[in-house]
Order: sequence, then structure tokens, then C-alpha cells
Amino acid sequence: MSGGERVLAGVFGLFGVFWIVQALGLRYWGDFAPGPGFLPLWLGITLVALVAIHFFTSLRRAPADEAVEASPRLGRIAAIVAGFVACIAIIEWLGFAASVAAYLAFLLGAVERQRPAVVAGVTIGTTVTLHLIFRTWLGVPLPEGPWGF
Amino acid sequence: MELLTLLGHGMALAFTPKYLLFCFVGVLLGQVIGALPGIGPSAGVAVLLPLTFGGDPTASTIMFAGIYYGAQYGGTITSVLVRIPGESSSVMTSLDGYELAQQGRAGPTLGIAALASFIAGTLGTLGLTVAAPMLAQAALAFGPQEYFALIVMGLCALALVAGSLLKGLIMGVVGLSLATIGVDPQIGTTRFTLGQIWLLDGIEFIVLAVAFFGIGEVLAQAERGIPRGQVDTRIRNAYPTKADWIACRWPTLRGTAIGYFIGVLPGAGATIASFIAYAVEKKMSRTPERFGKGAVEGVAAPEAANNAAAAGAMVPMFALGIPGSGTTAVMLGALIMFGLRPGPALFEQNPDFVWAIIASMYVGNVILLLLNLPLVGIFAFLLRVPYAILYPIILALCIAGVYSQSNSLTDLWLACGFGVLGYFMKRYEFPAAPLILGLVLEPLLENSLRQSLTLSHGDFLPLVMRPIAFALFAITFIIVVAPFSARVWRRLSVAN
Repeated sequence: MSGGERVLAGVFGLFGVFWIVQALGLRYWGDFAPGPGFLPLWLGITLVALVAIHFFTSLRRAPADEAVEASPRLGRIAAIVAGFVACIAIIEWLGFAASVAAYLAFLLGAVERQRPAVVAGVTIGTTVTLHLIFRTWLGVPLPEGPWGF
Repeated sequence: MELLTLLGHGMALAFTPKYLLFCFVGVLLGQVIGALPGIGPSAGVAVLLPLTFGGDPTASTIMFAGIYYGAQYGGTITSVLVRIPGESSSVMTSLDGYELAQQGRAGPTLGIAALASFIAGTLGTLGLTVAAPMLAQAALAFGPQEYFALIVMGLCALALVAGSLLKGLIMGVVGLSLATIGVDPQIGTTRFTLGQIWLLDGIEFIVLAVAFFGIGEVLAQAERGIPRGQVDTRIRNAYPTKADWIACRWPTLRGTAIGYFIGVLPGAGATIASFIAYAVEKKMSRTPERFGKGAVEGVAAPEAANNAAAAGAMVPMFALGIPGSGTTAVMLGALIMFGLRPGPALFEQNPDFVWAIIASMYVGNVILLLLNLPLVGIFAFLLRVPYAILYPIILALCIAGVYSQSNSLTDLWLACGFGVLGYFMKRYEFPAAPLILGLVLEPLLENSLRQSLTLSHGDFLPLVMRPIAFALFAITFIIVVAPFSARVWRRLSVAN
């Protein structure tokens, strides 16, 4: 098991512990039947047990090649996620259309280094299509920017 | 006779212009999604789910079903032309399909794949037509104990086929746990809300489905990168010869039978079906050495199997409310979102809905055949669209879809967080499908468990001792124990 996998399994284990602690604060058993804390408690216990078995069995396997851990494209992932976060953060101020257009332009232009014509075409085409589908067709009240869309 | 009447009624509905249009759009999108590497039918359905919110459930489900079986057709194109399976269920097709394409027979190979898919899809739908109502009828006798056992079995089966059983089980339990957030359905106590009002309704299914199958999948693919093959889209003749057809008759029928029965099993899906069908065909062949070097039977059998499995996977979803695959798990969530309760009662309470979907699958298979043979060159052209252009569009659709679900920025933040988690899950091979299944089935599981224990005054024995429940638990036990036993057996054999 690689380091990253160990961390992820540990996160799920901690999630299980959290579930156990929270479930202990709920009623375990009513007069005749299980209370609201019954299933969550057992789910938490099962999760912790499964993660523990996973750790135990992986210790007996040959260690994974740590080279797999280092990803040459991790910067790309970080850029995509950072752009996503920025897009959500500005959506209420700039409106849906401008935020999504900015995110698309960032991904296509800065992350993927596409030609300006492709960036412009895909950005405008996608934004207009989404606006037409969600705002016009489905009537979703998408956030509006200072310019009214 | 009653079956024919119901199917006839379904056909009448399926041929109305609206449902015909949704069926056409569904299979077309399925073809496109299947042909594009990096986006599967689960992601396709999850990302399009918000578009159907508040719409007609029948039309939307017809479209989702079309995407599911259409993607099985579409995945073949990339397998044959560039040896990049658009779908995991097309991996086996690529072995011989690509070799045949290299020998200048890309057209007839795609043609035979389309014909095998059509025959299997139609026969599989026929199996669905006959088996689902019978299974639903039998399942009417199910009490809460049987349902509890059935859900546990479904989760374990899906965990088993997801790669690592242990990781699959972990994800299933995480899904079940996440579904307990919100108000307790029986007493009304709040659980795991951390004092946040927005958590009272729990975490929306759409948010998690889009996060794991849309955003997480995109991030994982962006990291790996999708190789672009050199594609010759000028495929002139997609019609197989008589000799091809004679060679593929029985492999197609055997693949159909294998695919259908594997598809019906909860958890098993099109990918396993195609692997087994290919292995069986190779074993039965008088010239097994041709397999992997351009045997047309090696294309027909897995293609028939994956299409029949897609139809077979609908049987437990409609009849029992237990999905047979990752995509049907997302579809099940969609049905619940539409206010329908999948399971035996669906056939009695919503016959128009069920029979319109089943009938539309016959129609969809015909549309797919008609689209495939003459338009295969156009679908192959899609392979030229680079993933670098495709994934920003998918992410923009995810943002719009998640926001539109409840006009909430909180949902977008959740989708972003779970999307990143989905990426790490994908990277370290923790499967998302059992998590989604756990999320969808938890309310039924918890209600069944609590009802059973209420009926038995807290005694756990009746939960497992009723005959059907006992049999289902026994199967679950075998599912869980078999991989470990096999490993121990192998070690002992090696040691000896």
C-alpha cells in the first residue's frame, strides 16, 4: 500500500471514528426497536474494522512502488481545482455566465494552452449553451452579475 | 397474454413523439459518451441528471437507459479503431477488433459488433420483459428481513466486482454512513448535522453523483492524460460478409446468454460479462490461436455480452430496487429523486412508467443499429476531439448542474470537496459505485432493519432465519469469503 493510499484509508478510518463518537450521543435503542443511533454506530464500527483489516492485510503485501506516488501532472490537477474554487467564489459577484466563462478560458488557455480561437469558441459556445439550457429552457435562477447575466 | 398487452401499451407510449425523441437523444448521447474515452455512462447519467430535475420521469429514464446501452455500442468504436476502449466493457473487443482494423477490416468489424450488439440488446430486453415482472411478483412476498438481506447482498456483490472487495466494502459503508446525515426517518431526531441547517436534508444524491462520477473522474483523467490515436474516419463499408455472420452466429447467442445472466446478478456488470464471454468463446473455438490476432468471433461475443448485460442489469433494478451495476445505481438514485420507489411495487403502481421504459429499449436498439451501420464514420470522427477541450466543458456542465439542483452555492462547495475526494479515490482505486449504491439504498436498509427488529421485539435471529433471507445471507457470505478462500487455497497449492 502506497503512502497516499494509507492516508486515504486513514481518512476513512477517522471518518468511522467520528461516526462512532457522534452516534454514541444518539439514542441506541428505543422501547421496542433500534433508535437513531443504532445503525450509525454499527456503520462506524464496521468502517473502522474494515480500514483496520485493510491496513493489516496491506502490511503483509510487498510495499508498493513509491515512484507511483509522484505525479508529473499534479500541478495540472491543482490548477483545475484552484480554478474551480475561484469560480465558485466569484459566482455571486460576477454572475454565473462570467464566472464559468472565466473558468473555461483559464482551463483552455492557461492550463491546456489551446489556440486563442479555440479558447474563444469553446468558452463562448459552452457558456451560451449552458445559459440557454439552464436559464432559458429550465428556468433556473442562475446568479446574475452587474451586467444583468 | 397479459405481458403482451402491457408491452403493447408500453410500445404505444414509447412511440409517442416525445418519448421517441428522448430515446433518440439518449442513445445518441450514449454513443457519443461511449465513443469518447474518459467519460463513461455513469458519469454521463450523473452529469445530465440535473437537467432532468422536475421534468417527466419517464422521458428522463428513457434517456438514461438509452445512454447506458448506447454507451455499450459507442465504446466499440474506440476499441476497434485505436485500441483505446471507450468503456471498460469494450476492453475484450479491442483485442481482436483492433487487429481486424489493422488488416483493413475496420468497417465489417464495426458492423458485426453493431449487429451482435443489436441482437443481444433485443434478446436481453426480451429477457427483461419476461423476467422482471416475474421477479417483482415473487418479491412481493419479501418482508423487511428479505429486503435487508438483499441490500446487504447487493452491496457486497458490487464491492466484489469493483476490484478490491475490502475497498469496495469500505466505500459501501461510507455511502451508507453519509446517507444517515439529516433527520432520522422514524423518530425525527437530527443526526450528524453539526448544527448546520443546510445538512437537515442530508447530502443530495446529485451532488455526490456529479462529484464522484463527474468532477473526480475528470481530475483523474486529466492527470493520466488520454492518448489520441490516429483515426481514419473514412470507413466506407460497415456491412459484414456472409462468412463473418456465419462465424459469429453462435458466439453472438452464447455471448447474449452469458451477458444476460451475469447482468442480472446484483453487482456484476457488462465488463465481467464481456471477459467471460470472450474466454468461453476462445475455449470453445477449434482455432483458439486466432484469438487476439483478428478473430471476428472475439468481437461478436464480448459485444453481445456487454449489451445483454446492460439489459440484464435493469432486471434487479426494476424488480427489486437493487442495481446491477454502477450506472444503474445512479439511475436508481434518479428514480428515487423523481419520487418513484423502485422495486416490486413499481410494476403495480407505475405500470405506464415501467413498460414505457422497457418498450423504449426495443426501439432504442433499432435506432442504434440504424445509426451505427451508416454513421460509424461520423462517430469515429468524435475521436479527434481532444480531452483537453472536452473536460472543461464537462466541468462547466457539472457546475451548472449542481447549482441548478437547489440554487445553492453550498452544494457547489460540497461538490468541489467530494470531487477532490473522488479524484484521490480513483487514484488509489477506491471504487465510487458502492458508495453511491450505499447512499441510495440506506433509507431502505435502515427502515427494513428497524422494522424487522421491531417485529421481533429486538431479536436478531428472525432477521437471518427466514428461508429467503437465510439464502441471501448465505450467498453474501460466499461472496465475502470466496476471494479470501481462493487466495488461501492458492497459497496452499503453491506451498505443496
